[in-house]
Amino acid sequence: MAKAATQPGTRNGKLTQAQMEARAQQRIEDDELIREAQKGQREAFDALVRRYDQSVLRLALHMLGNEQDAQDVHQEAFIKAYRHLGNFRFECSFYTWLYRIVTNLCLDQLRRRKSRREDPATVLDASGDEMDLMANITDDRAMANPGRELDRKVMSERIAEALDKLTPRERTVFELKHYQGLKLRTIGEMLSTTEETAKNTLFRATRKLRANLAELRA
Amino acid sequence: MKCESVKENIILANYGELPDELAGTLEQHLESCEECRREWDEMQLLEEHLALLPVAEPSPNLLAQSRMRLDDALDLIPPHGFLTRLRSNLFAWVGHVQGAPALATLLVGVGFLSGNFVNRYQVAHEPKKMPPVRLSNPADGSIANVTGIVQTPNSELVQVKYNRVIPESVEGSLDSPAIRDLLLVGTHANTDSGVRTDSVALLANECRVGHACLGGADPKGIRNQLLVSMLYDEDAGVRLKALQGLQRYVGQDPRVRDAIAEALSRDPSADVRREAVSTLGPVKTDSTVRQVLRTVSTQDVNPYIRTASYNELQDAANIQ
Repeated sequence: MAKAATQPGTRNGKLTQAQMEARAQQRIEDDELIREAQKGQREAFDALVRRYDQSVLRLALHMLGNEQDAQDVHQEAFIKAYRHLGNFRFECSFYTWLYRIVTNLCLDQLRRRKSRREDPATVLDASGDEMDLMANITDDRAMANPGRELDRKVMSERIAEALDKLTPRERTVFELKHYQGLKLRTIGEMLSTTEETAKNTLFRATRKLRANLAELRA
Repeated sequence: MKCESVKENIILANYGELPDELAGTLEQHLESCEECRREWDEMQLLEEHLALLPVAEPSPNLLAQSRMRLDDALDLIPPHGFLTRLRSNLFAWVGHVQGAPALATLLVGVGFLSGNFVNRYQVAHEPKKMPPVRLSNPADGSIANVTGIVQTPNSELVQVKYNRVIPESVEGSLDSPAIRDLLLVGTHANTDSGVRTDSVALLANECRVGHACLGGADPKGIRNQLLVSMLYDEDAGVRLKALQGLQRYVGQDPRVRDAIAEALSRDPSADVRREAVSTLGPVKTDSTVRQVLRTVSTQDVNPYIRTASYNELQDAANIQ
């Protein structure tokens, strides 16, 4: 059991040769688009937006659980990127740079919510109605049935509540590591901290989540 | 391996962040430690729970709507101007420099040396500044005179126009134009001859040492003012000081020479006339000067001056 468990899984960050080549090619293309956008070509920036806006929206939606807030973060992040693209110095990938902007905006939003003592566990769509995230997931298992579906829905809500009990920074680190699969070093760079700090935050977040979910199970 | 660090390594292993060299140790520990094995199972259970809240893809509608909103917002932002491009180029240049430490060091060195050189050059060639002139106004001054009175008809209102004299003092170098202008004014002072004496003495001293003692048509020229003081001042001491200040220019300025000759012929003070005789010594060969010396040698009331003039004439004759 243990031997199998310590084998690299799907989130281990170790890429195949083909994936590495694809990423290198993507970075070359990104750099070219950034240079053109820095010269003032709006089409080049639009191409960058089309490459990454779905990822940005997905991250914001999952972190904030609210379509309206996710849209706001999406728009603000790309406008910031557009305004400050001249400062981009190709020291990291555009993806990392953009994600840094997005995560910081999400972090700010989470902090504002904490200070307002909102209840973000309720997931709202763009029109303000409650949204069922699970409705977007297709369950193609043959054994799916309504009773089990209800349990899954209740459990997912409890998980969302448990995630919400984390501090904004713990929530962000956990999101970037667990759901986005980023390396701890990259997370540290995005949050302007060290890899070691990001690692310790991840430990704290994981322990808290386990404790919270244990309470729920009890 | 302690169980506490093993528990952290379990989390790292779960996320593929555990270094390869620790993976084997963790595996061995898990086989022998029941508590850590439970920890591992708990972690797997957490994974299963979290899988119930997966990352949902944004709906196509939401994505399209977000893109439209962003496009509209970007359209409202003006295109990058010259300053933005300049800043962008600057950042790019800084990036290049960061990538080439040797070049950066060289540039810093050249910049340092250039700055040092330019600073030394500027210090060496800096024009010498005049000492600052300080003004003080210790009192509001007194009323000098009333210039007009207007009474409003059928009332007791009266408007009085007057001039106020405000005393001020100035400190500064004798070479300062402001100080010189004030000293020139001081040579005309009517009430206090001490002021005139001091002003003329100071200006005369400036002329004696050759500090910008201008003549010609400039009404503000010190030399011209000394000529006026020498010929027309009421105080003999002032006239004598002015004459002494003009000695240096008797050979090179005909106006000075003629004015001293005139002073010799008509100044009521014997001291002034005696000084004029000796001052005219270097130009005694001039016909105008000889004519004056000749007149003075026969008609001056002071026998010493007559003799001195005669001697000068004799010397002139010997030279010729």
